[in-house]
Amino acid sequence: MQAYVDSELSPSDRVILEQHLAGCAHCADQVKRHRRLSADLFESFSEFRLSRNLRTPVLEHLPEMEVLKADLGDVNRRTKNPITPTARAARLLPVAAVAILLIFGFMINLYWPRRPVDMSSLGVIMQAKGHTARVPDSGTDWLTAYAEERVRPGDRFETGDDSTLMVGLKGSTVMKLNARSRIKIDTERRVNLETGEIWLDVGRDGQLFRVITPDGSVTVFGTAFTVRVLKGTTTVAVQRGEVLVGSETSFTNLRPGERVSIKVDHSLTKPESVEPDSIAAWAKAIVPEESADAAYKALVLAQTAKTELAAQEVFFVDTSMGGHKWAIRAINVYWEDDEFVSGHCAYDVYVYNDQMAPLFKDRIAASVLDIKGKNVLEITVPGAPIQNVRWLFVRLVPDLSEGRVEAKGLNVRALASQL
Amino acid sequence: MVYMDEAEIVTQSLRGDTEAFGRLVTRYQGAVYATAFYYVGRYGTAEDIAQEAFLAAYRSLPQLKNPTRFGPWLREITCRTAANWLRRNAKRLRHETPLPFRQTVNIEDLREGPGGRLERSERYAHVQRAIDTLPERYRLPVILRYLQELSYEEIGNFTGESREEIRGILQRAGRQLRDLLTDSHGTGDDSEWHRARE
Repeated sequence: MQAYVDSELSPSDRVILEQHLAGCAHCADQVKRHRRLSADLFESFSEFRLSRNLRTPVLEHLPEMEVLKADLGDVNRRTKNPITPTARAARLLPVAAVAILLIFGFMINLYWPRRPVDMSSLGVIMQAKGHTARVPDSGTDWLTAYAEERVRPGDRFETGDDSTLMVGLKGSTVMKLNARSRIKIDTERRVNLETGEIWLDVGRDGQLFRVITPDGSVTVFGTAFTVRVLKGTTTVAVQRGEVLVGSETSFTNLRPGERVSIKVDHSLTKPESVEPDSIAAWAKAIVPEESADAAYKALVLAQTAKTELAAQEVFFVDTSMGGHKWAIRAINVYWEDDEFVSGHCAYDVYVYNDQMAPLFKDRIAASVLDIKGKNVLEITVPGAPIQNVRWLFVRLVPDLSEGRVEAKGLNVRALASQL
Repeated sequence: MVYMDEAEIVTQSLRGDTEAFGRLVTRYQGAVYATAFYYVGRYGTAEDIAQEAFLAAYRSLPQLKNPTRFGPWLREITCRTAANWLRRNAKRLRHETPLPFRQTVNIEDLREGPGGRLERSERYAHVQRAIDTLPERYRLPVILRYLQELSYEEIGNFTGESREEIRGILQRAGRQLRDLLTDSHGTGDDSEWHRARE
């Protein structure tokens, strides 16, 4: 009954009790008295309730903790042996000495000549040979690019004939730009290859890396590969690891030693074999300048990234559940409500068969995830329903360019009819 | 589930993430304050003790053996902090009455008439005496519930008891308080509110 008054009963118990109360005057009266008592108690305590948030005052005192390491035992000792004011002052002497030293150190530090550490930079130019140019995001003028210079979000780089450029990005990604290439760097995990050829060695820090080309996108889970945009065709070849290549309409997964092109009509060529070492022959010749290499290492170490895994989710759908054969006509993607009304990322949905051959792809727009109360999106299988596939393999890849909030509690189910 | 999530926050705090510790403060400040109030009974002082308890907790966080039991561990630290404060101030306290019992009557209070501050403080004293007659184990949950309006789950997370146990405790405590407060006015145990000096 007390739990009922305190709104702590489970919904089912609540219904049962309320039904009983409707027909039992005695219990109803008891509830009323419990209510009155609770109200009285809340009321008489109300003026002593905590009046302010303690978070700020506590956090403000935390830094002192490092210096003044007094534990509870110390407090006990102190109460037994009270300290006189002079003793207290004497005890503060070491602290004062440290403080004075700190102030001196700070002032020396302040006037010491040094290169400013720029935390907003995404990386460092590690080598620039021949005619290399850069346009900062904020400007339109081409400036000559030099090794050791910092890379900022939105920077665009271009290489001329017989010129190469090498850039080290945060998250241990190394990028080499071949001659006659142009690239825009959006973030340390996303670049736009406008024309030409790049070779990338993407550090495994748990996040996805994307290369956008005029024809499609290349999503990488930590790997080494080249992308070439030439005369309207994007070609991707993988040296190491696994790469997902997608155009507007189709996609495929590439393994080491495979190469694929996105054709003008957005379809993909069949993956063909290439010698893994030949893929990056040109890139091998590009080596960092020593001073730039040191600068890059300093930058990467200064910004030890907090790694967060699980940037992609993979689901299996058993298509012969209960011993029946099923034809899949749609896929439902579910997610849980969260506290964000905006800022969700979009998801690319890739569906494979049991041979890991691609079937179709679709996309969940960020705006769909922003809608409160909407928890499911039905994705219809294009063309005929899928049959004769033992397992469906569904991969949800977040696209963090639209927002940074990943969906909570993602789940996938297939809509099927029995054959 | 609450515990898992919380263990994660505790681990983050241990790594020096003060924001994570801030989240623990936000989550437990009501409970810590109410516990301090239960021992010290002084408005304002209870806030200072709560603050001190959080700092003590931050300091000894590396000694927390089981991060999923942060709540009960924090409760112990709060009790110890309050006890230390009382010991430290024992001499001074002997000459004072805790604030909720100090009755200063001034014109404003009298003008408020029935239901005003004067009557409220009398009623509060009455409630306090009733709570003092409860079994020891019931008292803290009752204060947590009625001073800070914590949910059963929040209370359980702090005292280390299950939600069902808290439900039982508050059910029985509620019945006793109702009998004491609604039927026989003023016949509570006469023990003064000096529990901490026992």
